[in-house]
Amino acid sequence: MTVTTEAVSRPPWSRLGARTGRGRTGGKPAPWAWAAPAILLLLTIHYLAIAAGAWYAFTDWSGASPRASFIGLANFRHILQDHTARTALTNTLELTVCFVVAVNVLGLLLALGTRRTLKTRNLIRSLFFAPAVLSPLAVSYIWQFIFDYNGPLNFILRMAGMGSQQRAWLGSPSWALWTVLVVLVWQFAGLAMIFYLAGLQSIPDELEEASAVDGATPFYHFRRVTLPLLAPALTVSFTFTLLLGLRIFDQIIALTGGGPVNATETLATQVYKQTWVYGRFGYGAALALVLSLLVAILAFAQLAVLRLRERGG
Amino acid sequence: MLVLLSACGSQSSPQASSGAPVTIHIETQASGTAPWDAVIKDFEKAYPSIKVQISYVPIATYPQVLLTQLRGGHGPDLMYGSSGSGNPNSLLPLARAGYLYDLSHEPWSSQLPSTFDAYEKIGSARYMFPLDVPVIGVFYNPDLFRQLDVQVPATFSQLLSVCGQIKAKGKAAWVLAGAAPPNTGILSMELAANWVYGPDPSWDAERAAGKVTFSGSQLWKNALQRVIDMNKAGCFEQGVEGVQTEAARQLFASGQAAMYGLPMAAYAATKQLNPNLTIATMPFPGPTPETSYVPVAPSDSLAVNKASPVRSAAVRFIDFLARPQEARRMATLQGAFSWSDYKQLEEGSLSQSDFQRTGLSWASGYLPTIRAKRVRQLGNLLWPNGKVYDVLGTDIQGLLTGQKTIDGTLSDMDAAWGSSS
Repeated sequence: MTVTTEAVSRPPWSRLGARTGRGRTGGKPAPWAWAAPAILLLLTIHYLAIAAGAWYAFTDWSGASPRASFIGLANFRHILQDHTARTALTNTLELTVCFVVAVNVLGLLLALGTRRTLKTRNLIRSLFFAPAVLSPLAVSYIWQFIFDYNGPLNFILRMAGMGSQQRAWLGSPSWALWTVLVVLVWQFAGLAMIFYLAGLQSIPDELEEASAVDGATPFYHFRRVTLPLLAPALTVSFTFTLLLGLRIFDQIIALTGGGPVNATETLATQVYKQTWVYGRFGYGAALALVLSLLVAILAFAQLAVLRLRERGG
Repeated sequence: MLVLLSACGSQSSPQASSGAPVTIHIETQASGTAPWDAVIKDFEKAYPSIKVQISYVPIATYPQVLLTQLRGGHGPDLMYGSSGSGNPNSLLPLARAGYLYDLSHEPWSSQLPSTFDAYEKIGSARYMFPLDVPVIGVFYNPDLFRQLDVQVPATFSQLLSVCGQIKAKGKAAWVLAGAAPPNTGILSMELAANWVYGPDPSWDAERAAGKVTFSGSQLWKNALQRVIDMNKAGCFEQGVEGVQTEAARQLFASGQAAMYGLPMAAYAATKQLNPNLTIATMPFPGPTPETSYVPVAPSDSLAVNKASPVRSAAVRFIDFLARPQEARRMATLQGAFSWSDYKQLEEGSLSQSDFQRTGLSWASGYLPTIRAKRVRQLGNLLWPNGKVYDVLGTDIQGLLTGQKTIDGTLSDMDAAWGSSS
């Protein structure tokens, strides 16, 4: 009788909670029926839409036409022959690698620099983090003004007697990509700083005190104590910034539009242009699929390597 | 997903069959509300049973928003777009896909200048109404020319000479937004009007028929050579290859540059930056004054959704707009000629006093050229896709940076002409 009363008075989710806590109760895992609606919704709304979009990569759909003909791998063969697509792929990889390295190095330095001792550290942290929450377009337009030929950067160079170094920063084929990188690093270094600050806070002070007592130099302490314990934060930050770097779009469109002559074109900007500007939805979908695969492969590979390092492998 | 997105679009009221009020929905890109506000107010006064609802979509996303709505079966009753097929927001591809209603039986259709047909018709069917007819030419600052004691150029060789004189006096002769393909594209279309379409008005038709190519055309090589000549002569502002539209416009409006190649519709935005700026107009200086041409096209257009449940009310709105007085009101606020004024200008039947009444007296510099019928097509609108013009605009920047050659640019345009998925 008692058992029956208890069964009636306990809501169904309490049983689910008990069963999912395998470690505590040793019960069976939750029945699939409980998770099925959510999984079905996820598959339908998210993955089915992606799969449907991926299908267009194998067609010649123009976007406006009601018909789309299946053309097999023609779009992918065209990507291999398309000079602009190859340039976009190279730029994407170059920009991403440099972005991930620069933003994490700078983010880590900022986190170490604002970790303690400073009374105004919270204010300084907020100032460094603020650009990350600003609109990418607003940030880009401000930097566009700074990099303008008649803008503040060239003015400072002239004032410093370095007039010969003046240039159209965003219009120069050899400088434009790196100028975009500066903006990206400026905007997102504060974000990496937050990841590393969270990681640093989880390191016990006793370890620092112990290594100081043992006579470790600050560099030795950082290399042998702090960095290994920051591994989880490194994993999160590197993965997040890798995904961010591979998909950078707004800043490039606002700063250079992909120019001069494709010098800052990336896969993301090419997907947009081919699809919406040129009306080549099939080809744009093929590029989007390549970008998605690239993101997935690189993200999983990096995650695997970092996880291995976390475990001391 | 498209269906879900399109569900966000508006639903027009059912067609009133017995005088019940109906609402028509216009969708346009966000580039100023004043012209629409004025004509909608007039229309609702003339037709109290029809209410007009208008949506403004940001320019960058307008083509995709419109296409998504149309594909989902929830398109607006009336839609703005560019005539022809050479822009992302072009209407002819939508007509080919069966989304637009044939307006060729409307009374105004047969009265439009026949030069508009190539931009608006497929066969005998006309799919759009021209909201305005902008001339693309040169805005110049007469006060600056006077201040620098330099003559306004009437030929291309004079332009090159003037560039040196103005540069020597610390100003820019010609402002170009070299990092903005739409602006470099405008310069190239002005050059094409003079060096390609001037000597061979049917060049685009020949290209469409496959009889000529860009890369094989000496006329196109001549046109693009002029960009290099202007750059060598120091016509453009410093750092031209990195200049965006806003910075270029600011440079001209602040009196730091003497000339700027723009469509008429850019007048209001330029004056807004500096209301005291005096702007005069002239055709791009060609080989001689007698062989200087201006590109003209009925680019801004309005079309009716074939699937609109209130189609007759939507057509009535266009019929109302087509009246010469309303057309002038709309076009003048856009900063361009109306179809009827332009037709009279072409025919030479628009008197000086009538021209003054258009409110476009600042554009009088174009009148002798139009009256002399030295008008050419805005070729890019007639090209088969938006990529050709984008490639041209992008590669002009490459001519300035040294990344591209004339031959390379023209080959890229040929490749873009034939590109499809």
